[in-house]
Amino acid sequence: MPVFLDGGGECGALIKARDWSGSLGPVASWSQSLKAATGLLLRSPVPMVMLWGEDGIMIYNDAYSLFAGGRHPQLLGSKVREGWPEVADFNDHVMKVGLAGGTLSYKDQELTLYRSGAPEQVWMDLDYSPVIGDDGRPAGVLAVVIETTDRIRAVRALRDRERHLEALFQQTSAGIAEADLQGRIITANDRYCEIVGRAREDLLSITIADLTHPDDLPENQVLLGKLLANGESFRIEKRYVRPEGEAVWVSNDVNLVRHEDGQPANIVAVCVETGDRRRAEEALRESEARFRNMADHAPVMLWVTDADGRCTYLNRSWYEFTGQTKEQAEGFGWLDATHPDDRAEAERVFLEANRRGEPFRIEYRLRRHDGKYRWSIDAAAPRFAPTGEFLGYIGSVIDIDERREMEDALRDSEERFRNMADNTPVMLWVTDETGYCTYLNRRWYEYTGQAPGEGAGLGWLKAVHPDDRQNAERVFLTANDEHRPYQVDFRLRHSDGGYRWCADTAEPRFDGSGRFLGYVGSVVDIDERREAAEKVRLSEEMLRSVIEQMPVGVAVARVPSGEIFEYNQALEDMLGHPILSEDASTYNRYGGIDEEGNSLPPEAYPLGRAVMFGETVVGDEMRYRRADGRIIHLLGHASPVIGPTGKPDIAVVTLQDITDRKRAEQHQRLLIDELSHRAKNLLAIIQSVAQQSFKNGSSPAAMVASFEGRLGALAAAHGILTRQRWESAPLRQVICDTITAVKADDHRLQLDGPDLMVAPKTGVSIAMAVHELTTNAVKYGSFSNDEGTVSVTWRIEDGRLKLEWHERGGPPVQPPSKRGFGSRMIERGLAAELGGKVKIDFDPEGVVCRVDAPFAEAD
Amino acid sequence: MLAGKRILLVEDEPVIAFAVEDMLADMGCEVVGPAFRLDDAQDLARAERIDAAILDVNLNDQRSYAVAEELERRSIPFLFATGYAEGGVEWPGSAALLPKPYRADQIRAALEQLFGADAG
Repeated sequence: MPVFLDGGGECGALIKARDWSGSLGPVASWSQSLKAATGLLLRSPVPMVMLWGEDGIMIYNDAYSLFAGGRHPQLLGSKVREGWPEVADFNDHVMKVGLAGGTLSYKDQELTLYRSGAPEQVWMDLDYSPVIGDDGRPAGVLAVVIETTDRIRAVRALRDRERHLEALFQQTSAGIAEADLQGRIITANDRYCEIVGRAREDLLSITIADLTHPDDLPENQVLLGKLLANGESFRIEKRYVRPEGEAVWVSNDVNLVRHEDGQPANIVAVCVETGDRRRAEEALRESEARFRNMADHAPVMLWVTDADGRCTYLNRSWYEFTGQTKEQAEGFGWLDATHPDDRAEAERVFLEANRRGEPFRIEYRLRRHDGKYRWSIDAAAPRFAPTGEFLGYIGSVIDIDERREMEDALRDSEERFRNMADNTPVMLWVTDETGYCTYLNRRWYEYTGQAPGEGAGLGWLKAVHPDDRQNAERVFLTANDEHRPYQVDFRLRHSDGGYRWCADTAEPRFDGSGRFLGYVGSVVDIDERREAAEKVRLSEEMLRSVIEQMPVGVAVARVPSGEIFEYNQALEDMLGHPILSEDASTYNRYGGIDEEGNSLPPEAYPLGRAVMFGETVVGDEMRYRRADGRIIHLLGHASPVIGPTGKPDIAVVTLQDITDRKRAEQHQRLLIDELSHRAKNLLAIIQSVAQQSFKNGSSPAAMVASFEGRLGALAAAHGILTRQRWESAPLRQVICDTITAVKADDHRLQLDGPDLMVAPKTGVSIAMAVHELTTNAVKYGSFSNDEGTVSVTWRIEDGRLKLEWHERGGPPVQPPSKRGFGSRMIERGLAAELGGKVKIDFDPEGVVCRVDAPFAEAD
Repeated sequence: MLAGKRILLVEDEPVIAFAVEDMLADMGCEVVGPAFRLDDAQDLARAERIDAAILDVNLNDQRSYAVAEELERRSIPFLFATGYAEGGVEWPGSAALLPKPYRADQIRAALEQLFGADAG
C-alpha cells in the first residue's frame, strides 16, 4: 500500500479508494514526484490542490474539501476545467503558466462560484507554483487556496458603517464637535460649523473656550473640570460667539469618550441652537413685566391671587386709593381696607368662589386713603393654566361712587346736547367707536320718516337709496377704521316718498387722552344744488357739442385774460396746428399776417379785439399762415358775451376759411379787367379801321362798304376765337371764313396746308390781311372776272411758316399808284405781328403775296 | 406847335398803329416807328432823334416800362397809352396817361401839354 497516503485524512482515504485507471493510473504506478507532492499536500493544514498533467487532474486535501463545498468529493480526481466550469478560463490560464514553469499569485481575487448550486461571490488569496516531474519538467501546478471572503465582507461592512456614521454625523440636526482633553477641536460636523459660524478648517486651530461667550465661560469651565475629573457629563445653556460678534444661544450636551482601557480620550459636545426658546422665555418675562407696568398704570384697581386665594399682586391704583402698603395688602390684608360691616360678606363670597374657581362680583365699601368709604364693585375672573389647572384670580375694583357722579354729569351734558341737536334744522348723528349709530336727532327722523330709533346702529342705511347704500356704508366704515374726517354724498329717502341728494359730513371724536370715540356728523339736503349743477353741466355739454359740430372754426376765451378754454376740431383743422391755451398777450404766436407777411399783434385778431376792447367784430378778413406754410384767408366774427355779472366774462370768435372765395373773386376781377381791355382794344381797332376806311375820297357808299367788309372780317375772326375761347385759332378756318365772307363761290378758291393753330392776335392780323387781299382780288384781281382763281398754300419749313397767296386767271395786274390801308396792313402790320417778312408782288399774271415768318404753334 | 416834332409811336396792334400814325401825320408830326414790339421800341428809343413818345403800356403781355426808362434817361417826355382802368400802369415816376381808344384831339392836347410843360 502506498505509504504516502497514510495519515492523509479523509482525502487521503478517498484517493486510496478511488479507481484511477481512467486518468492517472493505479496509485502504485504514480510517478515519484506525484506521490511526493500528494503526500506533502495531504498533510498540510492549509487548503491546497494540485492540478496534475495537461488536464489538471485535481488532488486536494481536507482543508480544500471544505472550500469545495457541495462539489466534494466528486471534485477529487476531476479535470480542473470541468470541475470548475464557471472559472474554466481562469484555470486554463493557470495551467498554461504553471506548466510553462511560471508562478501566479492573486490577492483577494474575486470569483463567482456555484459550490452549492447557487452563484456565490467569493474572494480568495491564490498562489500557484509548478510541481517538477520525474523528468525535471513541470508536470503539475500546486495551488494554495485561502478563502478571504469573510474578511473582505467584514471590511466592507465596517466601511459601510463608517460611511453611515459619517453621514449621521454630518446630517444630524445637532451640531457635534469632538475636542481633545485640552478643549482643542479635532473634528466638527457641518451643523456645528453653521451654528458657530465658522469654516471647519478655522475651527481646528481653536478651543471650545474660544467660541464661548465670556459671560458663560466660567460656568462652562467649572463643568468641564468636573467632567474631566469625575467623568460627569453635563448640559449647559450657553452662548457661542460668531466671528461677526453675534451671540447664538445653544443647549450643549458634553460627554467623555474613553479609550478601551477606560482612560478619557476625547470630549464630545452635541449642541442644539435654542435661540428661539430663549427668546420665548425672555418674551414671557417681558410680557409679565409689561403686564405689571400696564396694570400699574391702569386707572382701575387690579389684583391677582394664587390658587390658595392669597393675593400676590395689587396694582399701584390700589395702593394709591387705599393708602395701604404692599405688606399690609398682600395675602388677605386687602380685607382690612373693606368696611367692617362688609368685610365678612366679602371674605365669604371670595373664598366660596375661590373654592369653585368661578367668576364673582362683590359690592363693598372700600376705605379710601383719606378715611372715607366709597362704594366699590370688585369683579374677578379665574385664571387657568393651559392644562386647565386653576391658578387663581385676576380682578378689578371700581369706585362706583365716582362713576355715578361722572354718569350724572355726562347725562346732564348729553341732555343739553340732545336738546340743542334736536332743535337744529340740519340732521345730526353720533356714532360710537365701533361705528354703531347711538344718536340721530329729531330732524333726521322728521326728514326720513324713519320711526324713532330705527336709524340706530346701521339702521340709518335703510333710508339711503339702494344704489348709494353700499358706497355710503363703505366710505363710513373705512373712515371709521382710520379715524379720519369724511364726506359722502347719497340720495336719502324723504318722508314725502322721493329721494333727495344729501351731503353727509362727519368729524371723528376723541376724548382727552386721544382715544377715538366715534363720529359726530351732519346731513344736509343738497338736492337743489345738485340739480342746478347738473343743469349747468348738461347745458355746457350741449353747448360743447354744438360748438364741435359747427362747420366753422370756433373758439371761446375768458375775459379779461383771453385764455382759450373751448374750441372745436374745425378750428384746429383750419389753422393746421393745435390751439394754444394762453392769454391774449400771446395771440401774436398764432399765424395771422399782414400784406407783407409780418405777424399780427394780438389786438389785430378778432378775438383779441373782443377780449381786450369789448369790440364786436363783424366780417373781418385776415391772412393766416398755417403751420404747413400755406397761406389762407379767414373771415372772422368775434364778440364778447355778457355774463351773469352784467360784464363780459367770455368772448367768442368764429373763423371761416374764405381762401377759395377770395381766389374766385380775384379770378373774376381778372376776367373783368381782361374783358374790358379787349373791348377797349377792339373799339380802338374799329375806330382805326373806320378812320382808314373813311379817309380816301371814294364815294360814301364805297367807303361804307369797305368799312363794313373790314368789320365783317374782324367779326368773323372774333367769332372763331370766341368759339375757341380765345385760346387759339385754326389757320385754315380763319383764311377760309375771311375769304368766303367776301366771295362766297368757293370753287375758285384753293386752300392747301397742314392744320395749324395760331395765337388769337395772330389770327386777327391774318384775317385782316386776308380780307384786304380778298377785297383787292374782287375789285381788281382774279375774283373780278369769271375765270380767275385764288390759291392759298402754307407749310412749315425749318420752324418757319411759309404762306403764299397766289392769284391766277384774272385781268392783267397793274401795280397801284399809291399804297393804301390794305398794303400797309399786310406788309407792315402782318409782318410786325408775325415777326417775319410779308411781301406783295403785283405780277401782271396775278397778285402774289408771300409770308415767311418764324412759327410756333399755339396751344 | 407840333409841326416837325418827331414822335416815337409804340403800339402792338398794327391797325391801331396805322391809324395813330395817320393822325400824327395829319398834325404835322413825323412818326418814328411805329414799333410793334418791345425790342424794336427799345432800339428806337436808344438811337433815334425823338421829341416825344406815345407808349402803349401793354405790348403782347409785356410792359413798355423799359422804353420809358430809356426815354427818361434821355429826358424825352412821353405818354402812356392804356386801355386798362387807372392803376393799371405800375410806373413809379409821374407819367401822363392817354386813354384808349385813341382820339386825335386827345392826342393833340396831351402832346401839346407835354411840350408846354417841357417848355415852361
